[in-house]
Amino acid sequence: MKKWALTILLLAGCAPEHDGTVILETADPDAVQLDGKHDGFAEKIKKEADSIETIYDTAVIKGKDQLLVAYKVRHLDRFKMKDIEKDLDKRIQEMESTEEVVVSSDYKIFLEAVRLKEDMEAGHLTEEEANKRLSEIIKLKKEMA
Amino acid sequence: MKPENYKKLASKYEPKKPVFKNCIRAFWTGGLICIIGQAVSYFFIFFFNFTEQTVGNPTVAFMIFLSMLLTGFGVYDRLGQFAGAGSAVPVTGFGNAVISAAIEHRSEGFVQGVGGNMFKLAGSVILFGVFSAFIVALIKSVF
Amino acid sequence: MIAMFFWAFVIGGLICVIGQLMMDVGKLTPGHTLSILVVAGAVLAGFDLYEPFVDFAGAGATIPITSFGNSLVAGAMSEAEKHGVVGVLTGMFEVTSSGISAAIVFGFIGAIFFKPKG
Repeated sequence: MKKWALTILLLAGCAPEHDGTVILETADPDAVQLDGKHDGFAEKIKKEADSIETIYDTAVIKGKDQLLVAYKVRHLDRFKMKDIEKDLDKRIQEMESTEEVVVSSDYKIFLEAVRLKEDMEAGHLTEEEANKRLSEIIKLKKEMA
Repeated sequence: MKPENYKKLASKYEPKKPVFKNCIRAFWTGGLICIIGQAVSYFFIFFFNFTEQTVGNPTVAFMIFLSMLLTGFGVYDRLGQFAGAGSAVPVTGFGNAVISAAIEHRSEGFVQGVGGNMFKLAGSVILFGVFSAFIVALIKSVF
Repeated sequence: MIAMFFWAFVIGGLICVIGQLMMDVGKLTPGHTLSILVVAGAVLAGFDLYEPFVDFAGAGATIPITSFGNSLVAGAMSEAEKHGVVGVLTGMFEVTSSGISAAIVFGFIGAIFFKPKG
Protein backbone atom coordinates (compact mmCIF):
# COMPACT_ATOMS: atom_id res chain seq x y z
CA MET A 1 0.00 0.00 0.00
CA LYS A 2 2.85 2.33 0.85
CA LYS A 3 4.23 1.74 -2.62
CA TRP A 4 1.03 2.93 -4.23
CA ALA A 5 0.95 6.05 -2.13
CA LEU A 6 4.53 6.69 -3.13
CA THR A 7 3.84 6.24 -6.82
CA ILE A 8 0.93 8.65 -6.74
CA LEU A 9 3.02 11.13 -4.81
CA LEU A 10 5.81 10.98 -7.37
CA LEU A 11 3.46 11.22 -10.33
CA ALA A 12 1.65 14.12 -8.73
CA GLY A 13 5.02 15.79 -8.28
CA CYS A 14 5.36 16.08 -12.05
CA ALA A 15 1.82 17.04 -12.91
CA PRO A 16 1.12 20.53 -11.53
CA GLU A 17 4.00 22.21 -13.40
CA HIS A 18 2.16 23.84 -16.29
CA ASP A 19 4.87 23.18 -18.87
CA GLY A 20 4.67 19.49 -18.07
CA THR A 21 2.20 19.26 -20.92
CA VAL A 22 5.10 19.90 -23.30
CA ILE A 23 6.22 16.36 -22.68
CA LEU A 24 2.76 14.86 -22.39
CA GLU A 25 1.40 15.99 -25.72
CA THR A 26 2.50 17.43 -29.01
CA ALA A 27 3.53 21.01 -28.29
CA ASP A 28 4.53 22.07 -31.79
CA PRO A 29 6.14 25.35 -30.68
CA ASP A 30 6.86 28.02 -33.30
CA ALA A 31 10.44 28.31 -34.41
CA VAL A 32 12.41 31.06 -32.70
CA GLN A 33 14.97 33.20 -34.45
CA LEU A 34 17.42 35.16 -32.31
CA ASP A 35 19.84 36.54 -34.87
CA GLY A 36 17.96 39.76 -35.62
CA LYS A 37 17.08 38.68 -39.16
CA HIS A 38 13.53 37.97 -40.24
CA ASP A 39 14.14 35.69 -43.18
CA GLY A 40 12.08 32.82 -41.76
CA PHE A 41 15.05 30.50 -41.89
CA ALA A 42 14.29 28.85 -38.53
CA GLU A 43 10.77 28.15 -39.80
CA LYS A 44 12.27 26.45 -42.85
CA ILE A 45 14.46 24.24 -40.67
CA LYS A 46 11.41 23.26 -38.62
CA LYS A 47 9.52 22.27 -41.76
CA GLU A 48 12.44 20.15 -42.91
CA ALA A 49 12.65 18.36 -39.54
CA ASP A 50 8.88 17.86 -39.44
CA SER A 51 9.03 16.24 -42.87
CA ILE A 52 10.84 13.24 -41.40
CA GLU A 53 8.21 10.59 -40.85
CA THR A 54 9.52 9.21 -37.56
CA ILE A 55 9.57 12.65 -35.92
CA TYR A 56 6.31 14.08 -34.58
CA ASP A 57 7.24 17.22 -32.70
CA THR A 58 10.04 19.72 -33.15
CA ALA A 59 11.32 22.87 -31.48
CA VAL A 60 13.81 25.00 -33.39
CA ILE A 61 15.83 27.86 -31.94
CA LYS A 62 18.27 29.70 -34.14
CA GLY A 63 20.73 31.86 -32.27
CA LYS A 64 23.51 34.15 -33.49
CA ASP A 65 25.90 31.34 -34.20
CA GLN A 66 24.17 28.24 -32.91
CA LEU A 67 21.18 26.31 -34.17
CA LEU A 68 19.26 23.98 -31.86
CA VAL A 69 16.79 21.43 -33.15
CA ALA A 70 15.00 19.46 -30.43
CA TYR A 71 12.61 16.75 -31.55
CA LYS A 72 10.51 13.85 -30.36
CA VAL A 73 10.56 10.45 -32.02
CA ARG A 74 7.49 8.22 -32.40
CA HIS A 75 7.75 5.71 -29.60
CA LEU A 76 8.05 2.53 -31.62
CA ASP A 77 10.82 4.15 -33.67
CA ARG A 78 12.89 4.92 -30.61
CA PHE A 79 14.90 1.75 -31.26
CA LYS A 80 16.33 3.53 -34.31
CA MET A 81 17.08 6.75 -32.46
CA LYS A 82 20.73 6.88 -33.53
CA ASP A 83 19.91 6.57 -37.24
CA ILE A 84 17.20 9.20 -37.03
CA GLU A 85 19.60 11.60 -35.34
CA LYS A 86 22.21 11.07 -38.07
CA ASP A 87 19.64 11.55 -40.82
CA LEU A 88 18.29 14.78 -39.33
CA ASP A 89 21.76 16.14 -38.66
CA LYS A 90 22.78 15.48 -42.25
CA ARG A 91 19.69 17.16 -43.69
CA ILE A 92 20.20 20.28 -41.63
CA GLN A 93 23.92 20.48 -42.31
CA GLU A 94 23.09 20.48 -46.01
CA MET A 95 20.78 23.45 -45.56
CA GLU A 96 23.08 25.59 -43.52
CA SER A 97 26.74 25.48 -42.62
CA THR A 98 27.46 28.88 -41.06
CA GLU A 99 26.27 27.88 -37.60
CA GLU A 100 27.02 25.19 -35.12
CA VAL A 101 24.16 22.73 -35.52
CA VAL A 102 22.96 20.75 -32.50
CA VAL A 103 20.18 18.19 -32.80
CA SER A 104 18.76 16.40 -29.78
CA SER A 105 15.94 14.01 -29.00
CA ASP A 106 16.37 14.49 -25.25
CA TYR A 107 13.15 15.44 -23.43
CA LYS A 108 15.08 17.84 -21.26
CA ILE A 109 16.42 19.77 -24.24
CA PHE A 110 12.95 19.96 -25.76
CA LEU A 111 11.51 21.17 -22.47
CA GLU A 112 14.18 23.86 -22.07
CA ALA A 113 13.72 25.00 -25.67
CA VAL A 114 10.00 25.49 -25.07
CA ARG A 115 10.64 27.24 -21.74
CA LEU A 116 13.02 29.61 -23.54
CA LYS A 117 10.47 30.30 -26.26
CA GLU A 118 7.73 30.97 -23.69
CA ASP A 119 9.94 33.33 -21.71
CA MET A 120 10.76 35.18 -24.92
CA GLU A 121 7.10 35.59 -25.75
CA ALA A 122 6.27 36.76 -22.25
CA GLY A 123 8.90 39.44 -22.77
CA HIS A 124 11.16 38.37 -19.92
CA LEU A 125 14.26 38.19 -22.06
CA THR A 126 16.30 40.40 -24.33
CA GLU A 127 17.71 38.82 -27.44
CA GLU A 128 21.16 38.76 -25.90
CA GLU A 129 19.95 36.97 -22.78
CA ALA A 130 18.06 34.50 -24.93
CA ASN A 131 21.23 33.76 -26.87
CA LYS A 132 23.00 33.09 -23.60
CA ARG A 133 20.22 30.74 -22.47
CA LEU A 134 20.51 28.95 -25.79
CA SER A 135 24.21 28.29 -25.38
CA GLU A 136 23.51 27.05 -21.85
CA ILE A 137 21.01 24.54 -23.22
CA ILE A 138 23.54 23.39 -25.77
CA LYS A 139 26.16 23.00 -23.07
CA LEU A 140 23.71 20.85 -21.12
CA LYS A 141 23.13 18.69 -24.16
CA LYS A 142 26.84 18.04 -24.63
CA GLU A 143 27.30 17.01 -21.03
CA MET A 144 27.03 13.24 -21.21
CA ALA A 145 26.62 10.66 -18.50
CA MET B 1 17.17 -25.21 11.23
CA LYS B 2 19.51 -28.11 10.38
CA PRO B 3 20.49 -28.49 6.72
CA GLU B 4 18.92 -31.96 6.36
CA ASN B 5 15.65 -30.70 7.82
CA TYR B 6 15.71 -27.80 5.42
CA LYS B 7 16.28 -30.05 2.44
CA LYS B 8 13.37 -32.24 3.46
CA LEU B 9 11.18 -29.23 3.84
CA ALA B 10 12.31 -27.76 0.56
CA SER B 11 11.68 -30.92 -1.45
CA LYS B 12 8.24 -31.16 0.09
CA TYR B 13 7.30 -27.80 -1.35
CA GLU B 14 9.31 -27.85 -4.55
CA PRO B 15 7.14 -29.94 -6.92
CA LYS B 16 4.13 -27.66 -6.67
CA LYS B 17 6.07 -24.46 -7.26
CA PRO B 18 3.55 -22.21 -9.01
CA VAL B 19 5.84 -20.97 -11.79
CA PHE B 20 3.16 -19.12 -13.70
CA LYS B 21 1.82 -17.29 -10.69
CA ASN B 22 5.35 -16.35 -9.63
CA CYS B 23 6.05 -14.94 -13.08
CA ILE B 24 2.92 -12.79 -13.05
CA ARG B 25 3.86 -11.45 -9.63
CA ALA B 26 7.44 -10.79 -10.73
CA PHE B 27 6.16 -9.07 -13.85
CA TRP B 28 3.92 -6.54 -12.25
CA THR B 29 6.00 -5.75 -9.19
CA GLY B 30 9.16 -5.45 -11.30
CA GLY B 31 7.30 -3.34 -13.82
CA LEU B 32 5.89 -1.15 -11.08
CA ILE B 33 9.35 -0.52 -9.63
CA CYS B 34 10.49 0.53 -13.11
CA ILE B 35 7.51 2.90 -13.40
CA ILE B 36 8.51 4.48 -10.10
CA GLY B 37 12.05 4.78 -11.47
CA GLN B 38 10.70 6.45 -14.61
CA ALA B 39 8.65 8.89 -12.53
CA VAL B 40 11.71 9.71 -10.42
CA SER B 41 13.81 10.38 -13.50
CA TYR B 42 11.14 12.68 -14.99
CA PHE B 43 11.03 14.45 -11.66
CA PHE B 44 14.78 15.11 -11.87
CA ILE B 45 14.45 16.23 -15.50
CA PHE B 46 11.66 18.70 -14.71
CA PHE B 47 12.95 20.27 -11.55
CA PHE B 48 16.70 19.88 -11.79
CA ASN B 49 19.24 20.33 -14.54
CA PHE B 50 19.45 16.73 -15.68
CA THR B 51 18.99 15.44 -19.20
CA GLU B 52 17.79 11.98 -20.16
CA GLN B 53 21.45 11.12 -20.62
CA THR B 54 22.60 12.22 -17.18
CA VAL B 55 19.50 11.42 -15.13
CA GLY B 56 20.45 7.76 -14.57
CA ASN B 57 22.83 8.44 -11.68
CA PRO B 58 20.51 10.48 -9.43
CA THR B 59 17.64 8.12 -10.23
CA VAL B 60 19.58 5.05 -9.17
CA ALA B 61 20.83 6.79 -6.04
CA PHE B 62 17.27 7.81 -5.11
CA MET B 63 15.92 4.32 -5.75
CA ILE B 64 18.58 2.88 -3.45
CA PHE B 65 17.64 5.47 -0.85
CA LEU B 66 14.02 4.26 -1.06
CA SER B 67 15.27 0.73 -0.78
CA MET B 68 17.12 1.65 2.41
CA LEU B 69 13.91 2.95 4.01
CA LEU B 70 11.88 -0.06 2.89
CA THR B 71 14.60 -2.46 4.01
CA GLY B 72 15.01 -0.75 7.35
CA PHE B 73 11.29 -0.98 8.12
CA GLY B 74 11.22 -4.61 7.01
CA VAL B 75 8.91 -3.92 4.05
CA TYR B 76 11.31 -4.96 1.32
CA ASP B 77 11.86 -8.45 2.67
CA ARG B 78 8.12 -9.04 2.81
CA LEU B 79 7.84 -7.68 -0.72
CA GLY B 80 10.59 -10.07 -1.74
CA GLN B 81 8.67 -13.07 -0.47
CA PHE B 82 5.72 -12.02 -2.56
CA ALA B 83 7.45 -10.76 -5.70
CA GLY B 84 10.51 -13.01 -6.00
CA ALA B 85 12.61 -11.79 -8.92
CA GLY B 86 10.28 -8.81 -9.31
CA SER B 87 11.94 -7.17 -6.33
CA ALA B 88 15.37 -8.82 -6.65
CA VAL B 89 16.21 -7.92 -10.27
CA PRO B 90 15.68 -4.12 -10.11
CA VAL B 91 18.54 -2.07 -8.69
CA THR B 92 16.51 -1.68 -5.48
CA GLY B 93 17.11 -5.40 -4.95
CA PHE B 94 20.84 -4.79 -5.21
CA GLY B 95 20.46 -2.00 -2.66
CA ASN B 96 18.40 -4.27 -0.43
CA ALA B 97 21.09 -6.97 -0.54
CA VAL B 98 23.78 -4.52 0.55
CA ILE B 99 21.70 -2.69 3.13
CA SER B 100 20.12 -5.73 4.77
CA ALA B 101 23.55 -7.35 5.12
CA ALA B 102 24.86 -4.15 6.69
CA ILE B 103 21.97 -3.93 9.17
CA GLU B 104 22.06 -7.61 10.02
CA HIS B 105 25.75 -7.69 10.93
CA ARG B 106 25.76 -4.47 12.86
CA SER B 107 25.92 -6.29 16.20
CA GLU B 108 29.39 -7.53 15.23
CA GLY B 109 30.60 -3.95 15.10
CA PHE B 110 31.01 -1.45 12.34
CA VAL B 111 34.37 -2.65 11.00
CA GLN B 112 34.15 -6.42 11.26
CA GLY B 113 30.38 -6.62 11.01
CA VAL B 114 29.04 -3.90 8.74
CA GLY B 115 32.23 -3.30 6.74
CA GLY B 116 33.10 -6.92 6.34
CA ASN B 117 29.68 -8.24 5.40
CA MET B 118 28.13 -5.43 3.40
CA PHE B 119 28.92 -7.03 0.05
CA LYS B 120 28.39 -10.60 1.19
CA LEU B 121 25.35 -11.02 -1.05
CA ALA B 122 25.90 -8.31 -3.64
CA GLY B 123 29.62 -8.98 -4.09
CA SER B 124 29.16 -11.62 -6.75
CA VAL B 125 27.07 -9.23 -8.85
CA ILE B 126 29.86 -6.66 -8.72
CA LEU B 127 32.55 -9.27 -9.36
CA PHE B 128 30.93 -10.84 -12.41
CA GLY B 129 29.66 -7.52 -13.68
CA VAL B 130 33.07 -5.90 -13.54
CA PHE B 131 34.96 -8.89 -14.87
CA SER B 132 32.63 -9.54 -17.80
CA ALA B 133 32.53 -5.82 -18.61
CA PHE B 134 36.33 -5.83 -18.57
CA ILE B 135 36.49 -8.71 -21.05
CA VAL B 136 33.76 -7.26 -23.29
CA ALA B 137 35.27 -3.78 -23.33
CA LEU B 138 38.75 -5.18 -23.89
CA ILE B 139 37.62 -7.19 -26.92
CA LYS B 140 35.66 -4.21 -28.20
CA SER B 141 38.48 -1.73 -27.88
CA VAL B 142 41.06 -4.03 -29.46
CA PHE B 143 39.01 -4.92 -32.54
CA MET C 1 5.54 10.24 -21.98
CA ILE C 2 2.62 7.91 -21.30
CA ALA C 3 4.09 5.48 -23.82
CA MET C 4 7.38 5.69 -21.94
CA PHE C 5 5.73 4.63 -18.68
CA PHE C 6 3.92 1.81 -20.46
CA TRP C 7 7.06 0.39 -22.05
CA ALA C 8 9.09 0.89 -18.88
CA PHE C 9 6.52 -1.29 -17.14
CA VAL C 10 6.46 -3.97 -19.85
CA ILE C 11 10.19 -4.25 -20.50
CA GLY C 12 11.13 -3.93 -16.84
CA GLY C 13 8.53 -6.55 -15.94
CA LEU C 14 9.72 -8.92 -18.64
CA ILE C 15 13.33 -8.74 -17.45
CA CYS C 16 12.07 -9.68 -13.98
CA VAL C 17 10.10 -12.59 -15.47
CA ILE C 18 13.30 -13.84 -17.12
CA GLY C 19 14.94 -13.70 -13.70
CA GLN C 20 11.99 -15.54 -12.12
CA LEU C 21 12.14 -18.27 -14.76
CA MET C 22 15.85 -18.72 -14.17
CA MET C 23 15.14 -19.20 -10.48
CA ASP C 24 12.02 -21.40 -10.80
CA VAL C 25 12.68 -23.43 -13.92
CA GLY C 26 16.48 -23.19 -14.06
CA LYS C 27 16.70 -23.84 -10.29
CA LEU C 28 19.34 -21.17 -9.87
CA THR C 29 19.93 -19.28 -6.63
CA PRO C 30 19.13 -15.55 -6.66
CA GLY C 31 22.88 -14.86 -6.56
CA HIS C 32 23.50 -16.92 -9.70
CA THR C 33 20.50 -15.37 -11.44
CA LEU C 34 21.57 -11.81 -10.78
CA SER C 35 25.17 -12.52 -11.76
CA ILE C 36 24.06 -14.05 -15.06
CA LEU C 37 21.77 -11.07 -15.75
CA VAL C 38 24.61 -8.63 -15.15
CA VAL C 39 26.89 -10.57 -17.49
CA ALA C 40 24.06 -10.64 -20.07
CA GLY C 41 23.80 -6.85 -19.82
CA ALA C 42 27.53 -6.49 -20.39
CA VAL C 43 27.46 -8.82 -23.41
CA LEU C 44 24.47 -7.01 -24.94
CA ALA C 45 26.33 -3.73 -24.46
CA GLY C 46 29.27 -5.31 -26.29
CA PHE C 47 27.08 -5.74 -29.37
CA ASP C 48 25.61 -2.22 -28.97
CA LEU C 49 22.21 -3.75 -28.33
CA TYR C 50 21.49 -2.36 -24.88
CA GLU C 51 21.46 1.34 -25.69
CA PRO C 52 18.47 1.09 -28.09
CA PHE C 53 16.59 -0.65 -25.29
CA VAL C 54 17.29 2.28 -22.98
CA ASP C 55 16.03 4.68 -25.67
CA PHE C 56 12.89 2.63 -26.01
CA ALA C 57 12.01 1.64 -22.45
CA GLY C 58 13.75 4.25 -20.27
CA ALA C 59 13.74 3.10 -16.67
CA GLY C 60 12.43 -0.29 -17.80
CA ALA C 61 15.95 -0.90 -19.08
CA THR C 62 17.99 1.18 -16.63
CA ILE C 63 16.46 0.00 -13.35
CA PRO C 64 16.95 -3.80 -13.75
CA ILE C 65 20.39 -5.02 -12.72
CA THR C 66 21.25 -5.82 -16.38
CA SER C 67 21.90 -2.12 -16.86
CA PHE C 68 24.74 -2.40 -14.35
CA GLY C 69 26.67 -4.55 -16.84
CA ASN C 70 25.74 -2.16 -19.63
CA SER C 71 26.96 0.95 -17.88
CA LEU C 72 30.18 -0.72 -16.78
CA VAL C 73 30.93 -1.44 -20.44
CA ALA C 74 29.78 2.04 -21.49
CA GLY C 75 32.09 3.69 -18.96
CA ALA C 76 35.02 1.48 -19.95
CA MET C 77 34.45 2.16 -23.66
CA SER C 78 34.15 5.93 -23.36
CA GLU C 79 37.42 6.02 -21.45
CA ALA C 80 39.04 3.55 -23.86
CA GLU C 81 38.26 5.93 -26.73
CA LYS C 82 40.24 8.63 -24.99
CA HIS C 83 43.13 6.69 -23.48
CA GLY C 84 43.26 3.41 -25.36
CA VAL C 85 43.27 -0.02 -23.74
CA VAL C 86 44.30 1.32 -20.32
CA GLY C 87 41.00 3.22 -20.25
CA VAL C 88 39.12 -0.08 -20.12
CA LEU C 89 40.29 -0.51 -16.56
CA THR C 90 40.18 3.09 -15.39
CA GLY C 91 36.84 4.01 -16.94
CA MET C 92 34.88 1.04 -15.67
CA PHE C 93 33.12 2.82 -12.80
CA GLU C 94 32.72 6.14 -14.56
CA VAL C 95 28.98 5.68 -15.17
CA THR C 96 28.14 3.10 -12.53
CA SER C 97 29.67 4.80 -9.54
CA SER C 98 26.39 6.22 -8.25
CA GLY C 99 24.77 2.81 -7.74
CA ILE C 100 27.61 1.39 -5.72
CA SER C 101 28.42 4.53 -3.78
CA ALA C 102 24.73 5.01 -2.94
CA ALA C 103 24.52 1.40 -1.77
CA ILE C 104 27.58 1.85 0.45
CA VAL C 105 26.50 5.19 1.92
CA PHE C 106 22.88 4.24 2.51
CA GLY C 107 23.90 0.80 3.72
CA PHE C 108 26.06 2.38 6.38
CA ILE C 109 23.41 4.93 7.33
CA GLY C 110 20.87 2.11 7.45
CA ALA C 111 23.11 0.12 9.76
CA ILE C 112 23.36 3.08 12.12
CA PHE C 113 19.65 3.85 12.31
CA PHE C 114 17.85 0.55 11.86
CA LYS C 115 17.77 -2.53 14.04
CA PRO C 116 17.89 -5.99 12.48
CA LYS C 117 14.51 -7.68 12.09
CA GLY C 118 13.69 -11.12 13.39
